[in-house]
Amino acid sequence: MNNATIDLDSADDPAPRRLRRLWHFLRRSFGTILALVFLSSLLAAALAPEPLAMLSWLAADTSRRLPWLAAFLPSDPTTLRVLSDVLRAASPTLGVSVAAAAGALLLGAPIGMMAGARVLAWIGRPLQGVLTIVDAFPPLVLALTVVVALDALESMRPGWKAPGAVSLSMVLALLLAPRIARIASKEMHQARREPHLAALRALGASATRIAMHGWLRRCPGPLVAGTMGLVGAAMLLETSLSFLGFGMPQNTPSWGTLLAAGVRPMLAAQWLPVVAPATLLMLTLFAVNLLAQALGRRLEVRGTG
Amino acid sequence: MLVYLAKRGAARLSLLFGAGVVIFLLTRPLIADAAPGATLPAAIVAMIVQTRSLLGSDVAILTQFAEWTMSLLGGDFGRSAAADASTLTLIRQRLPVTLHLIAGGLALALVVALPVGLLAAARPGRALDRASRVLVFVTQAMPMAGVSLVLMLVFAILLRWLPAGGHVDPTTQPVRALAHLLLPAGALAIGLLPMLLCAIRDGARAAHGERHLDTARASGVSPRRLIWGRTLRLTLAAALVPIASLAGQMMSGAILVEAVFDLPGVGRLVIESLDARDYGLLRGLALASVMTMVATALAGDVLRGLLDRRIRSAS
Repeated sequence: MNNATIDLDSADDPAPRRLRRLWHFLRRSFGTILALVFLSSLLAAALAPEPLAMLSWLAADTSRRLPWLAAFLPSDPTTLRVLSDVLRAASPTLGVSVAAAAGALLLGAPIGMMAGARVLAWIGRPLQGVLTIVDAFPPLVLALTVVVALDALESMRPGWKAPGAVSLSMVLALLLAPRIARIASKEMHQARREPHLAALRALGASATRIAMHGWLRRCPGPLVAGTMGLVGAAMLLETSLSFLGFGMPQNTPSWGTLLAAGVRPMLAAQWLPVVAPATLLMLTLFAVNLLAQALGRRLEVRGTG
Repeated sequence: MLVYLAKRGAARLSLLFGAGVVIFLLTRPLIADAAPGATLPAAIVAMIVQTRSLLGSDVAILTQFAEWTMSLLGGDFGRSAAADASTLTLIRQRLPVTLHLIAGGLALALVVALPVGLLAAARPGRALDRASRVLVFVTQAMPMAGVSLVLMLVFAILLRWLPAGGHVDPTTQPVRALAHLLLPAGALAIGLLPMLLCAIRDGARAAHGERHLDTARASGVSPRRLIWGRTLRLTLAAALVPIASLAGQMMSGAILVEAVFDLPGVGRLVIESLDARDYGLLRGLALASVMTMVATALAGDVLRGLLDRRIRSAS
């Protein structure tokens, strides 16, 4: 009896319940929060106007205030320069990857949805067929071929110049679009089997209206989650292309070009120029993939499927 | 089985044709043809002339495409202007290196993925299952170029356990060749691991849901025999298509790994053709890579049909 009263009391009191809920939320989404914090601090550091000055000030100031940390902090100018280069390379890499994923969404989602919807399948199916051809290539081979073709086009028409980062993100978007199209058409197909759509159909709703209902209920979540997942894939491709020297233009720093530039010092057993971009790239990919996974779980369509 | 194979084959071959058109259109501005239409049979020229009258437009592009297709059907993948050799000869010279690399990488990845994936699927939610998820997540975030460089830095330059690169012929010096292969194959294996592990785990999970395995379990087949004898077969059947689709990953990975470890394989040939602006060679290599992917996918279809009787009878 006594126990029951206590339980009722605590259930009625909103403050502990709210706290408990907050605690549960924090514990469940600890990784997501960590990923968000990492990505935003990376972006802030990358967009800082003078990363080198900032880093050296930060290192000097911290070692003055906390002398016991001084031994662990970089102080020599070469190390600081490498670190600031790696930070500066974050925004081009991330920018191209995000732009590529967004481009893949813009290109792939309409095609996939048209292919999956009954009304527009006659346009969508052939277009999706073209996209599956992209998937028949080893990704890097197609990317290299397209980049070289664009390059040659540029040299043939002297007045015309393809902007490096923009054309690179367009190439990556084309390469990644099939995955988005596949998600979209699959969701549309599954939506067709839902009972409430059968009910709509029985009531005499038009095919367009049925497609809109299926779309509104199912597509946006998986598409957003899929696009987030593509950011990581785009980053991997961009790094590979830039590492081989066919991605970002030489004067734009990116983690791929920095890795390539780090090979020579590495052979002389200087490890930082290779390890720094590799580590930051891995951490960023990890954070992006964590976010994609969290988004996917949150936006998952529940119920019939 | 024949109907199944014919269906799959038609789908894959139409993809190959589409990819051929894409390659042709991409590389056409890069390659100057000497005399378009000179080597074509008269019947095809007549057909092209007819199409020209139908479309009423420039058909030089059609002539060139027909010419290219005819030479491909005759087994001619074009010539490399820089090396003054046929593309096929160059590929044949370089292929063993790449094959060793891919075989090593796949073997290393399978050694990890097969037991982990099967056991993880046998007890979902337990420690090994969660560990396999973490493993997939970590390896997914590893860029091939970065992994290759860091492996080389740690094991070849700092620890000096293994050679930093180069290729040794395994027929003459097998042990040294193995030492040279270990790092590149390890880098490739890390790149292949996430997809391979997912494919095997999901395939095994699907196999566990099969009714006849329940019957076998109920009739007293031991868990070990159940996993390694019966589930493995179904798992492989279900995982074969995703595994065959790893071919693209393998070739992309081979390009990067061969660039880092200085292996004279087909991947390096791709980069060399780009550096030398040898577009005839590039065109042949791109087509050969797509053909390899299509052939792998078809082989996956055939093996799947052989392992899982239901697929054969279903179509």
